[in-house]
Amino acid sequence: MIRSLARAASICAALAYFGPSLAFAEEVQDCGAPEGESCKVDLGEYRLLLPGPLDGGAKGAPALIHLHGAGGSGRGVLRMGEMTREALSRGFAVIAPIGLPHSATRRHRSWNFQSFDGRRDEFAFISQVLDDAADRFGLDRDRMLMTGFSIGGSQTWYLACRDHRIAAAYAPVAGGFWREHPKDCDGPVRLLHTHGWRDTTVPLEGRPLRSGARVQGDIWEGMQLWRAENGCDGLRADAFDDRGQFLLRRWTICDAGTALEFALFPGGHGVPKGWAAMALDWFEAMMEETREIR
Amino acid sequence: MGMYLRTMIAALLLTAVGGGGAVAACDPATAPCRYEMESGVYHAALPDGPGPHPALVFLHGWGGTGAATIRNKGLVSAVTDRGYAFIAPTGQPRSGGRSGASWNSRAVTGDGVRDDVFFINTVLAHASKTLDVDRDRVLIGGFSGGGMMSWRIVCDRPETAAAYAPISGLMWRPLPEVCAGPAKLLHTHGWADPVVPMEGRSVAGGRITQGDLFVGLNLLRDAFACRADPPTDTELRGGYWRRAWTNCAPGAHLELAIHPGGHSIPKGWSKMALDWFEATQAGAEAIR
Repeated sequence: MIRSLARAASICAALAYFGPSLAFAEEVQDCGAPEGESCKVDLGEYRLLLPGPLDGGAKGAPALIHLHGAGGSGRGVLRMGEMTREALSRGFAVIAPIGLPHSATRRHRSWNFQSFDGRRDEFAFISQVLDDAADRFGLDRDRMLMTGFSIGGSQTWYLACRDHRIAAAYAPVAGGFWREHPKDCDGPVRLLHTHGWRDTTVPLEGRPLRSGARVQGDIWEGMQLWRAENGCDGLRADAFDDRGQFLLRRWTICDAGTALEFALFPGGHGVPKGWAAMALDWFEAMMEETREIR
Repeated sequence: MGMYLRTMIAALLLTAVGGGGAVAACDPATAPCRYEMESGVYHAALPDGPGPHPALVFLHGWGGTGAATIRNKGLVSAVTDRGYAFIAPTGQPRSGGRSGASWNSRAVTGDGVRDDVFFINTVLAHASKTLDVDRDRVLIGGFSGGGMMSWRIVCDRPETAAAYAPISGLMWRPLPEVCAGPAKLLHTHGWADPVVPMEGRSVAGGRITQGDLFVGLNLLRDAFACRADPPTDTELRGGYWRRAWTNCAPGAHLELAIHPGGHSIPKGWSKMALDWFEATQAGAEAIR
C-alpha cells in the first residue's frame, strides 16, 4: 500500500519534472526534511536533504547515503555539518536511513547485519529507501555512494558484500566485518575504507563485545576479501598517498571497474575532518571515468 | 689500561678460535672488527668504556653482509654512542653466483643449509665471551630479509634475545601455526613499502610468498598471551604511528610503528628502537 502510494507520488513527481506546467516549480519535498515527517517505505523510514528544488538541483542528482552509528538517528546524520555541506555543495542529496531500536536494549537505534532471526532484513530496507528516494525525488539511482559510521560502516560492508549493485560505491568509516567474517562476497566493489589509528571503540583489530558474545572483525583481514573479490593481482597495495592527515593505500592492479582504497587517519572513533571531501572526490572521479567509458 | 687488557684478552681468544693476524690486531672499541667462527662470520664495534655492554645485533637485508652493515657509520655510531655494542652477523652466500648473503628465514633444512637461528645464538655466545657483551641485554634487529630473520628467531626461539626490533621484514607464507612463547618486539614498517609490503608479496617467480604483517602480529599476540586483540596504547610520535599491546604475559610487549615512507630504515629508527628497548627493559619482570 505504502509502496503503491510512493509510486503514485513518484509519477506525480515525474509529471512535475517533465510536464509543461510551472505550477510545480516551487514544489518542496513532501517528507524526509529534518523537521516534519520522515519518508516511509515498507520496512522503515528515512530522511534526506536535497541539493536544490525538485525540478532544479535535485533532478537527476547523485546521492550520498549515510548510515548512522549505534544510537544515531536520521536527523543526527542530517546535522553532520561538514558532510552535508560538502555533499550539497557538489549537488549531492544526503540520504539518512533510520535504524531500528536495538532488539535487546530497545534503546539505541542500530543495524542488523549478521543474522536476521526475525528482525529486519536491512538489505531489503536500504534497497527500498534508495529506490523510493530515486522515484520520489528524481535522484540518480546509478550514482549513489553508500557510507556509514561505526556500526553503520559495518552495515555498509555487509551491504556491499551481499550485493554490490545496491550502490555505485562504498565509503564506510570505522566499521567493518564482524566475526566470523564472510567467506565470500557477491562480486567486485568500489570501496574506500577509512579508519582511525587510535580508535578504541572499533579498533582496527576488532574487539569482543558482551563478553565475547559478538566480536568485531579485523579490518586488515577484511580487506583481503575485497582484494579477492576485485581480482587484485597480488597482495600488496600498489599506490600510496600521504594526503593531509590521511595515509592512503590503493590497490589498482585489479579487475576493470573496481576500486579499493584504505585511508588511515591519526584520530579515534569518529568521522574525521576532511573525510567527506576525500570520499566525494574519489567518488566523483570514478563517476567521471565511468561516463567516459560509456 | 683496562681497555688495553680487554683488547689483549679478546685478541688472544680470537687467535685461539682461529682468527688471522688481522683480527688479532683489531680493537673493536676503535674500529669495527671481524670475527670468524666455525659456523660463520660477524663484525662488531664496541662503545667506549668498560663492559658488560648491551648490544644491538643488526641483521642485514638480502644481498647484504655484516661487513657492509658495519660500514653504515650513521647507524653504527648512533648505537655505540649510546653505549651499545653493534654486532653485524653475515648470512650465507646467496645462490646463483650472486654476491652478498641472505638469511635462512624460512628455516629450510638440508645439506649445506645453515640453521640461522642456531647461528645467531652462536654469535651471541661468542660475543658475550669475547667482547664482554651482556647476554641479558641484547636487542636483535634487522632490515628487510634481516627483519624476516628477526621474526623467525622470535617465533622459534624467543629466549634468544631480550627483545626484537625488525624493520620492513615479516614472516613467510604459510605462517607457522604457533610461535614458541612470549617476548618483546617492536616492529617498524613503511606504509608505502613496495618491496616487503605490509600485505606480503610473491617473490622468486611466485615460488615463495611473504606473509601478511597483521596476521603475523596476531600470531605473536597469541604467543605473547596478550589478553585482547586491540592495542592497549596508540599514539603518533616523532613521525611514527604506534600501537602497543602491553596486556600480555609478564614481561611480554608487542608494538608496531608505522612510518609514511617506503622500504628503508627510517630516520630516527635507532633512537626509537633503543628508547623503546630501555623503557621496556627498565623494571620489566624477567621472562627469560
